[in-house]
Amino acid sequence: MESAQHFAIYAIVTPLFAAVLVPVITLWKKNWAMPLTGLALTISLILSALLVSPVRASGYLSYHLGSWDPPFGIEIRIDFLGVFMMVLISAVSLIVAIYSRRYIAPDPSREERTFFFFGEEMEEGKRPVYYSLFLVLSAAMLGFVATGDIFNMFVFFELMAICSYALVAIPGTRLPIRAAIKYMLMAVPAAMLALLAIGLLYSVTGTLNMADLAETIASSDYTQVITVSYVILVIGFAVKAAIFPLHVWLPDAHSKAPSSISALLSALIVKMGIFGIIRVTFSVYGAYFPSGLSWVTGVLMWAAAGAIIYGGIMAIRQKDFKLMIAYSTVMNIGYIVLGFGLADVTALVGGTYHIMAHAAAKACLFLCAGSIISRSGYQTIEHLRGASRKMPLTCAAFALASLSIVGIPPTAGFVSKWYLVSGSLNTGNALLGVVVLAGSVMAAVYCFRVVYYMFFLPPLNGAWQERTREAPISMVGPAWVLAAASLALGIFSSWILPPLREAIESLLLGI
Amino acid sequence: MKKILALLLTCALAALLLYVVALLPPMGDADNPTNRHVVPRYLEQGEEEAGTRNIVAGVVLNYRGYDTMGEMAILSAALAGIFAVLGTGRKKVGNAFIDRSGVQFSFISRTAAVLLIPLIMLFSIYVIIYGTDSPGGGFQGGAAIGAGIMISTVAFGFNTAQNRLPHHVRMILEGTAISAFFLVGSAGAVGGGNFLTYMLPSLATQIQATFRTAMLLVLEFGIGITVGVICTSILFALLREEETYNVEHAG
Amino acid sequence: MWNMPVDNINYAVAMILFCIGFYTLIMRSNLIKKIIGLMVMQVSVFFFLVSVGYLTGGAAPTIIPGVAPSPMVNPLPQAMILTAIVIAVSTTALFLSLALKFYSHYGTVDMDKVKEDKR
Repeated sequence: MESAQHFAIYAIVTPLFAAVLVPVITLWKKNWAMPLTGLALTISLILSALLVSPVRASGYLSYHLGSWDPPFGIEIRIDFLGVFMMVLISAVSLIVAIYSRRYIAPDPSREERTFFFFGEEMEEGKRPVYYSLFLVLSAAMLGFVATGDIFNMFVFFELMAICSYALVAIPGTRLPIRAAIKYMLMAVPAAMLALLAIGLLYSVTGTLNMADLAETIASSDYTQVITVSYVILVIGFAVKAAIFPLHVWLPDAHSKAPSSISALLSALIVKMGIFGIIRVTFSVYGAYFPSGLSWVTGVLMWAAAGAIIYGGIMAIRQKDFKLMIAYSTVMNIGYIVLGFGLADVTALVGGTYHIMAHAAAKACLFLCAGSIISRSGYQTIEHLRGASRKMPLTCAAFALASLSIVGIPPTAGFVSKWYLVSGSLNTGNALLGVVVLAGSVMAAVYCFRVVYYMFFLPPLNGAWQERTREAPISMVGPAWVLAAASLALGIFSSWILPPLREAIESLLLGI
Repeated sequence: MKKILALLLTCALAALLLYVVALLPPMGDADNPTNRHVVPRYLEQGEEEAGTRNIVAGVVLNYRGYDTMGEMAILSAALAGIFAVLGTGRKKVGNAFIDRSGVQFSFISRTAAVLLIPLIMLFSIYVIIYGTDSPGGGFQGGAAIGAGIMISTVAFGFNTAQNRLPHHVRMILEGTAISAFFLVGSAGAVGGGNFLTYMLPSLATQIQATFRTAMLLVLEFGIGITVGVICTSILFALLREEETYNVEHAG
Repeated sequence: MWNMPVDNINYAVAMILFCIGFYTLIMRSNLIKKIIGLMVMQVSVFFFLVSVGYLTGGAAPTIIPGVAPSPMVNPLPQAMILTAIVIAVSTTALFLSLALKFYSHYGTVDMDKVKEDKR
């Protein structure tokens, strides 16, 4: 189709344009911020979904911006992995945007109060800024996965990073500000390292287009420079992806941010770091993989194992609800990186499927946490006792999503963990298969403990107020959509797995 | 202990980087990969293809215009981030807006500002317009606009400057860059090329070059206005925060 | 291909600056000094990139009508740096506003003096 080729760029640019319209429209009509956000993200979702068939038919989609042939101009290059990520990003962003409507703007006539941090509310003046940053963040993520030019990838990476720093700090009180500062102190030098690596790569190849770079690197003499640039680039992305031991910023940032932003951060933004590593490894440095760089994948494999064990233990030890969920994210990133580090097709399919499974389940967990915390005012696990009596729907969604986190069939988490264990057995690393299973056991401990508290224990005295009711439908609905998705993605996984497997085979073997 | 570890880490990093840098092709050599592959086309055909005599502006706006769009988005996001952290509204204490008041601004700075600011604005518009043919462009002109407004803030007072450029005006103006990119790009997509194409196949050949120059000018102005307004808004937000702190902790 | 120290001296200086900035960032406890270290790191990377684009004896990449074209330096790193400088300035502005908010909460910009984690 002739016009289909424009779908990709408009999926990226529409949220960006909407982001500058939101503050203007809010000057006249204050309530139109969220509908405009929802409209822009729906358009992106529809356009991304429409790209699936053309990409599957022809392998990849290449769009030359400005009608300049690459490598002279910037190219948008979308393969199946890219369109998979685009659909995931726009879907999760849309769902979290719908949730945000009542989360950040409680309705005073129904006597709800929103606690971001024991009493602080987001001032009314900051709400259009929230939606504006939200839209730019979604546009940046979509642009990051769709591009075929390495410097363009860096630009969108930085755009994504700036929006995430600001959104972590948006409540404005002490702890979010400190969390945002800690996040920036680690992530900005990492971005500078990535730029340095891009500069090193450019100085020995002379081009910035990823397909062209792959060809040039394959026949270049400067092997040491290219290897060092790869290591520096992976370190830069690894800080953003919170791979153990560079994960130190994540627990604070994800637990002190507003819950809708925590959902976006854990579900999507850390995955962008991992996607960056995957994209760079296969599409740029492909000729060096796996033989020349096998030590890098070995290091990542053991770092992933460390992430699983450390994240699991720390999650069990936490008393704060959102800190527990944040450490669970550290653990799950370990699963995804393990899929990459094993350098086996089955394991990588498991890892990329886990990107989607974890996004759905973890976003649901954070949205439920946000609903409960904002209604009860307490953020500790002890105060979750008896929550199901006041908020049954939210707690049921939490229980369903935690089944996926633990990896119980037939949820999506089970599918991805099955592939990871098979992959680790295929490559002879049975110890890592044991680590994956141990991670499931630890996830069962911390998730089911919370479920037990919510459903089977009486509430603490004074924990819940008489007039507290279930969260409104625009907050419960998105949580349920995500919980149902993590179940459906497990049951209907046979629709998505074959094309994903083909895409990964062509990435891994066809280079 | 921590100091020794940090020192070791830094020395290791320095050793690695210096090792890598020694292996790079020699600086300034005409046979480098960077000077052989992509760049000769920019230099030789840049003037006819991209329509600019300033080749860097041709690369920034034409060949790699998508990067520039991303960069304007980063500026807008940074401003939104600063509003997110510091708050948007004008803060009041009692019945008066907070201002660095009480001290009369000096006669010399006020007179100098009255003379300089119109010239600075004129110069910045000149830099923006001629950005495609001589060193300059949207960013440089926009920074000069921002500088002019900063001088007026210093000379005439924060409150006066804020009254001249109120919040709603700045909110509308700061979106001009992204809107310009969206509209110009869509014109390219609608007119038969791809997004951000300027030489449209559906136009008659004689006016294609003129259309391209017009589009480049629209983009340059969009970038200039946005950069100027964003610099101003950042300045105002930081000043406001400082004034609030001073007032809250003084009395 | 060992091109030190004369040919690639620019690159070496850029790397040393990068490490100086990195050390400042991790060792100083004052938030403003950390930001300064970060800025030094950013500037060193830009310096490196611009030096990559240098051509010995080259002129600025602008075509002046009436003057015969001479070899010009590489415009692509300059375009990259334009974008990267704007990115770095935006990040620094956001970071400074965070430091300002930190100051208004705690009254100091020194991160070591603020250990307690109460709300």
